[in-house]
Amino acid sequence: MTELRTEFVDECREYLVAASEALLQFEEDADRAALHEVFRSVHTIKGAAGLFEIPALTTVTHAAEDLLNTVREGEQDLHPALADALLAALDQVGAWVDHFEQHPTLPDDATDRAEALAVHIRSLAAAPPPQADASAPTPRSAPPGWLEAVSPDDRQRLATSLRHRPGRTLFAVTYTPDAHCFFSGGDPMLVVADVPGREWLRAEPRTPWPSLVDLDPFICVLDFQLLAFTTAEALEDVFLYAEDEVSWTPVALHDLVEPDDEPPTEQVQVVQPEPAPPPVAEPTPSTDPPEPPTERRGSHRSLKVEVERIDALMDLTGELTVAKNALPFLARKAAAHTDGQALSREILEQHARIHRLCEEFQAAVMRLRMMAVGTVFSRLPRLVRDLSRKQSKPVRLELSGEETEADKTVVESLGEALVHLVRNAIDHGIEPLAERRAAGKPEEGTLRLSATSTSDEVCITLADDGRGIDQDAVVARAIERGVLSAADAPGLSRQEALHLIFSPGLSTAAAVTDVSGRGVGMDAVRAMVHRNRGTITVDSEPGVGTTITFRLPLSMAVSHILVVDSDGQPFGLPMEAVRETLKVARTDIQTIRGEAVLTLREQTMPLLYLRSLLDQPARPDATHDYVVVLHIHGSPIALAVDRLFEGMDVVVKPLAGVMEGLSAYRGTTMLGDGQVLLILDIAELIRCR
Amino acid sequence: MPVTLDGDLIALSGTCPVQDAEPLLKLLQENPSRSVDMSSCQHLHAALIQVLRCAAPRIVAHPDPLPLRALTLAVLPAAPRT
Repeated sequence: MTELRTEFVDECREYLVAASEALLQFEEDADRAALHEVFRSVHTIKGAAGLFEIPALTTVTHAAEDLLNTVREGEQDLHPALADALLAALDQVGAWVDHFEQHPTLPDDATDRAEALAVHIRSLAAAPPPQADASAPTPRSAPPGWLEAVSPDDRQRLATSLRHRPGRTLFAVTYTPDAHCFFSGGDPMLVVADVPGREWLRAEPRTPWPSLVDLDPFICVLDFQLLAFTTAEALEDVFLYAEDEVSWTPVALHDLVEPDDEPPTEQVQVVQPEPAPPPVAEPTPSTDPPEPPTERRGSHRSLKVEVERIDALMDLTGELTVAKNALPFLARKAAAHTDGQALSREILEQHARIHRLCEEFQAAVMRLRMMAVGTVFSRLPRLVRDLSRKQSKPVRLELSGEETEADKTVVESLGEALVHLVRNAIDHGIEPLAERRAAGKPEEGTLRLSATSTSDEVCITLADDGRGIDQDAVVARAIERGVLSAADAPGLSRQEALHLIFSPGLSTAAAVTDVSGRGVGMDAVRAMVHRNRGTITVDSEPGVGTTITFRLPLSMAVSHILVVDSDGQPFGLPMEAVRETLKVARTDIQTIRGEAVLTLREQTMPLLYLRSLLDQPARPDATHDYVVVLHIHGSPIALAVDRLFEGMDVVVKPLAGVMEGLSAYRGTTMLGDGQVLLILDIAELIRCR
Repeated sequence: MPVTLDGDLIALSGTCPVQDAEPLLKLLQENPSRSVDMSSCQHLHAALIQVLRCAAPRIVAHPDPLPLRALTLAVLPAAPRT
């Protein structure tokens, strides 16, 4: 695929996301800026599509653009059917873009589909008659300071025009084109030429002109100031694609001449009347294209990284080189048989320096991979809207913490899980309208999705105000499905009972939908959380709602483990499951129905011996055990081990080859002395028991 | 060729797109005392306007087409009366 195609595909995806987000926003609060954003995005896609032989895509975007135009012109409101048609068009374009990424052309049926969509959209666009637009231009702000620069003659001329043609409005337009607008094909001269009723024009550099040798003609440094007899609508049209770069305000007669009709006696020639010129890149002699925008909207194949983060890596590389250069010097010293003690101290110092750099390097690389969770949140408003329309349940989605960052892998794996959870919450959590009314709840259901992060975890919470989970029904179903024995059922804590919804046996729609109101894809969610070494908890209050919280490590690459000894062999336990460690006398361990249990602060939990889990011989003669309290699926479990060692940060390598299928081991890591350490997956180990 | 040099006179003709800013800038950097004739120019990209504003060469003629002439007269120094 050529670079142009790659760029087109990436760009289309971004604009599609932007368009649907803005469309949903406009539907919600009728924000004109959002409508312009939709229009701009669709228009840009249409324009870019012109570079390729994909007429179907152009047909659809063109029709969508026409429809948007009727909304923009106030000829009709964006009613839900219109929004549906537009979203369908965006979806189709998205599907074609995906196809186009892999194939030289669009699918064979593209032309027919495009025609069908376009006909449908056009029928909607043609529906209502245009309404008369009687909106009067409204003043936006005080007249700009540059009015001072208009010569007395021009002021008189314009004042006379205003006085004699009272129906017309003179607009003062301040146009500050983007410094890099030339690179995207912009020409402010063309824009300015399009302003109807232009009476006065001035172009001023934002900063004083550099010397001719230093001028970069491709960085736009000109600001344009215009006076024109026109309308706000006409200006909106002209500056449609530059609305962030322009401001206008109607000019009153007294802004031009003193109220006593005398021309101002004193003229101040202001060279730089701009109140606050926006920061502009200094013109440089280089003609390199400008730096790409440093946003991080996710494309799955590439990673957009802020330049500063790369710079940080560059700096570290320099420091690392310096540290490396110290080593030959130490080697020469060692060869010369100098004082061993002093040499050892120097090596340790150097080690400390390299250690610090390694840590910083690691942190810097992690930061490169960080992505805002907002990238996966952004597809949910659409899902909520569609489901809510389909099921006639009004649902509001409240997002917070979109800017929370986590590793790219973590964020991307969140996407699917969130779709399952949101779908479940709307399908089964939020009650039908009648039921909500009867229960005295607000008709509109609320879903709250929030993200927060701590130093090493990102915490995602999805709360609904629906009917909650029927705990007894879940337990009954679990027994029926053989997930749970009837004997165990009464002993279940509330957490454990609710957690049953994640069991694979309960994860099909048919099994759970009718009883618990939960279930579709819950197993998939649990699997995702597990894969990412996270934890998931569910809390539910019948009639009030359900909250599902999952905590995932911010980053996958480095994990914190606790090293323990079992029968003389070291094993690693993932630290995120460890709640506490303690030394317990054998006499404190009780037995209930043949199973060992430990009571800690009035909480009784099962006690398992790691030796027995691993089929190692027991230690009957021991008087004490070291116990690690782990939280597994929301419940505490005490794990007795022979000895406890330190915690450490390691990079876990997944098992490969013949050991690949062994789920009881999460992976391996290399200890400092070259020994291989197996990292245990306790939840799996218990499950396999 | 929209940007041409004849003696010490730079002629801008036809539609001058953004790329023409570079040759124009070169010619004016080589010799800032060169004059500019825009009489047969149909459109001037803003990048060229910037070069002309920064270099401030003597302009012997503004474009003949009126709409463009109105623009260049507003943003560039006037041509001397002949």
